[in-house]
Amino acid sequence: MTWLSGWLREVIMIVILASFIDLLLPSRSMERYVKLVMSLLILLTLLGPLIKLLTDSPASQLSAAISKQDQESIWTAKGAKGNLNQILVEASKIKLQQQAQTLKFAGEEVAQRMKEQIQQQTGQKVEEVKVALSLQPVNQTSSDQESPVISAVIVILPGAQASGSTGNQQQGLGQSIAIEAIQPVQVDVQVQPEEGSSVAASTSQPDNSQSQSEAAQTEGTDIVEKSNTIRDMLVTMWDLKPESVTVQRKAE
Amino acid sequence: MEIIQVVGLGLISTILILIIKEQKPMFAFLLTACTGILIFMFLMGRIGAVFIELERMAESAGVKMIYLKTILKIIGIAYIAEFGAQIVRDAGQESVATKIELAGKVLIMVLAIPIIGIIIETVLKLLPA
Repeated sequence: MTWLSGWLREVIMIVILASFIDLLLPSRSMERYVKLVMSLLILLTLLGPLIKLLTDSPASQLSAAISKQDQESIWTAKGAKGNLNQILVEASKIKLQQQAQTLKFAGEEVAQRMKEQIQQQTGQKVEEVKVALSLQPVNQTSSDQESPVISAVIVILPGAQASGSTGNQQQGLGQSIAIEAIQPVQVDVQVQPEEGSSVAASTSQPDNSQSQSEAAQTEGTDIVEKSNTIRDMLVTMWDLKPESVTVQRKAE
Repeated sequence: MEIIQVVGLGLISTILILIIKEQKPMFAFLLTACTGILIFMFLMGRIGAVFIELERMAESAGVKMIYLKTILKIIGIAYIAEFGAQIVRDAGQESVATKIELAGKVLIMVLAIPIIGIIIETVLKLLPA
């Protein structure tokens, strides 16, 4: 009996609503049309149990039909436009992702090639080469055509111990040595140890580095030379800007 | 007391319009349109309250929201089309007003199409093929 009472309640409510809306209507000219739609709604409610028996419930059917109509209609193009905008935004997002992925793969490939070249030409063991690619417009006039450009190269040489420094030197010594030697010749060899950014760290601890300065000289100049040759080679072979190449020692 | 406000506004604007009509019919029409819009805006809040109450009642009575939405859409279309048509009619453009009303009628009929579709579908299913 519950479905009967629910159905009756629905029918009564719809009829009351319909009469109320009849009162609310602004003018006579619309009346016939509104009455037609209202009577159709009442009919739909009356037929509700029957429709539910044959197919699914009329309310869900109606909502599906109305949403379908909304999508097709020109008058409610706002919703469709929103969808289109969403699609466009998603498309551009996916495009950016793909671009980034492509650049990453290309960068890895280039890095591999650079590593091989460095090892062949200089005989210096290379721990890792990182290449950052970025897209830049081909020419000023057409901004949609972009070509990848190598924006930064980081060559990481093996750490002090791995490169065959004498065994009695401690790790800390090796690091301070490199920094001490590099400062006067103004090469941006960076050491990334725990001490933080190179110059500030080395000047703040002069007592540590000062004591090893004589031993540092040979090792440091050696590294600088190596890094300079690597940099020159990369700059000439890959047509790069010198400032975009960074040669580092591996952080301990 | 709000009815006094509305009627007072209407009377004042009528007098002003009658005064101004001889010299500047254009401004008279603008005044008419503005008065109409003001009264309409004034009524908007009241109609909104009525609709909210209707919605609440329907919800508690278990009427499906999709029915109520359809009904409210019909009323909205009827009100807006009527209002626009009357302003245009005031300006003396009877034919444009008729077109606006036609658009309102067509849009109401468009709302009826899904309902008709479901009913016809059911009838077709009831009858043996």
